[in-house]
Amino acid sequence: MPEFHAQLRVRLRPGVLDPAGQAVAHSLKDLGFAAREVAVGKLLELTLPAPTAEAAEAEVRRMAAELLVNPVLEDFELEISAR
Amino acid sequence: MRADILVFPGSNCDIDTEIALKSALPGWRVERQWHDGADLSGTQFCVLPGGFAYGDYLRAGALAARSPAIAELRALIGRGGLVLGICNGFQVLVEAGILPGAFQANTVQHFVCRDVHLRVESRGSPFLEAFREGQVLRLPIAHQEGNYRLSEDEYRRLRDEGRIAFTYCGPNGEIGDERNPNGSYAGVAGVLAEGGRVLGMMPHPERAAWPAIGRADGLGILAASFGSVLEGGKL
Repeated sequence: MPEFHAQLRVRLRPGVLDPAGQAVAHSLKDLGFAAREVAVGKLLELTLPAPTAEAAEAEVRRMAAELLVNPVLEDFELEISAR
Repeated sequence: MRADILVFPGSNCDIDTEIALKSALPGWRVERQWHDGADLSGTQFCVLPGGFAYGDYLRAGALAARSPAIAELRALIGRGGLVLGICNGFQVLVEAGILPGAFQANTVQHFVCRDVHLRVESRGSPFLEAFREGQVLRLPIAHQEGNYRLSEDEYRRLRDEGRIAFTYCGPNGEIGDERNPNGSYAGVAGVLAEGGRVLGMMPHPERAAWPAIGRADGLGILAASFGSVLEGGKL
């Protein structure tokens, strides 16, 4: 079966307070940088076997729903590529 | 009667909890059970202790909440058993969907380790029967991700159902942002599942269960009137 590579970019939903982003923004400011709206997210990468890219995407979306993403606070973008 | 403490890799309050439970529940068999292969079939009361289960990888409590031991825990809840999640244990119960809401990093952006005051908001639970509504307790907190998030609707529903257990407050029960150590929605420090037999709370009752050092407010939670609740039950 072919293998696919999946990349999930997980970020806090708009409007959810991001204390880590705020802390990083503060440090950037201390260093003299002008950066606003800093957001800290997560990048998850995995490889999985699947018959097609569509099937791989469906499977990773199930993983996201069951474990990888907390829908109360987080959103994600998913990118699937053939290996 | 048997009380079990579920231990995950990274749990670190399990021994404190064991010692406190042994003192709070004389005559009970109190044991720590490693999560892998845990058997709660003979248990009446299970505690999920504080710590950093699975290193809090992914999200605090997320990986522990998907471990097979949680199926055992759900079975215990299904037959009316008592479950207490303390700190990281509360995070596990939320990640497992047994309690509502979600956790985020403290708004103060650092680990908070100090005593707080709590107002008892409900008596609809065996864990809270020792107290009166509005009573102020003093317990320690120690967490980085204790910012408990609820939607306004969820909060109202929990409040109307008597499922808000504790709110952070001042020494005389004053509520307000300046009394909120971590940014939790409406200062909520602990909530109950439907029926009141599952309690999740960020403060540590096991660290304040010792009358000899003048710190005993946690004892009432740990030694809740389980006798009357479990009497005649088929647990």
